[in-house]
Amino acid sequence: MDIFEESEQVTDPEVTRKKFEQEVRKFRAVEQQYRTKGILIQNIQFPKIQFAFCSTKLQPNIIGYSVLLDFTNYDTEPPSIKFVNPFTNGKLKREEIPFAFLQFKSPFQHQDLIQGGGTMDIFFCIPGVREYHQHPAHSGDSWLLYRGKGEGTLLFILDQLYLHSLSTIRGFLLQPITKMQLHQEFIVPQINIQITQ
Amino acid sequence: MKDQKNDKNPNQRSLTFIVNGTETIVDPVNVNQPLHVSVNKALQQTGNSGRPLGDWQVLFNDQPLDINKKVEEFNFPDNAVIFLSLKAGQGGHF
Repeated sequence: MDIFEESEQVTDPEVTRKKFEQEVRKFRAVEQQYRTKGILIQNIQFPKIQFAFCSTKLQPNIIGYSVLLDFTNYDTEPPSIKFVNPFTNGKLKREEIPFAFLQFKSPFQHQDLIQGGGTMDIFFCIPGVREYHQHPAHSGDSWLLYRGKGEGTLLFILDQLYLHSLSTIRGFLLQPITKMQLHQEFIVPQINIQITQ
Repeated sequence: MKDQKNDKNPNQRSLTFIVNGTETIVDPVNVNQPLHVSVNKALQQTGNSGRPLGDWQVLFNDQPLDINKKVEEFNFPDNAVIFLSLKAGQGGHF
């Protein structure tokens, strides 16, 4: 079961296309700045655009995840964000994304901004994202309160994804795992690799 | 002939900002003024002055900056790019 519905294009498609192209043009103007942060454009095909988010702070660099942004019906509706495998484009589960998307409500209280999971698709839970506004718990926080104010633009979304994931990465944590495997001649050394934030 | 570099006021420099994805250069910047003066100019230049300053986070190398400090205290390199991003609304709670 998935509570998130695919949007139908009810806005004039030419309006959406022009706004989509405007968003892409703004990104192209600063693309190199975002590339150095590890945000790489993978594919553009109206009304969708896909980015890979890579950690440039870690050696070796890693691709953490990709997002497929869908601008159908923009900006009557905000863009949809789907977390996808950067190679296969399959939908990612929460446990397949090796980062916490931390939002600090106070120095001692933080929240993971990736919500959903289980039978529901995961989604990026902030205003300006279609899934946030479609969620029944946010029916009192309409997209129309944010439209045209900055939220929901392509660069806003890229900034928020980056600031709440890649920018908080500190390094790798390597933990040797010692498993006694009885009745086997060899013990294969294993290392658990985690990303610290 | 005078060297033009020597004519430059040592209390002035330029700063490059990217405001919600739009690049703008604030020039001149008085290095003895707090950073928020330049931030406000960057917001005006990019047509983003409609929202209060508190809605923005000011970042350099992913680190949030105290905009009440003087520009010279940050020792920004010449090629510094300061990012202004809107703060995300409260999320993650149902």
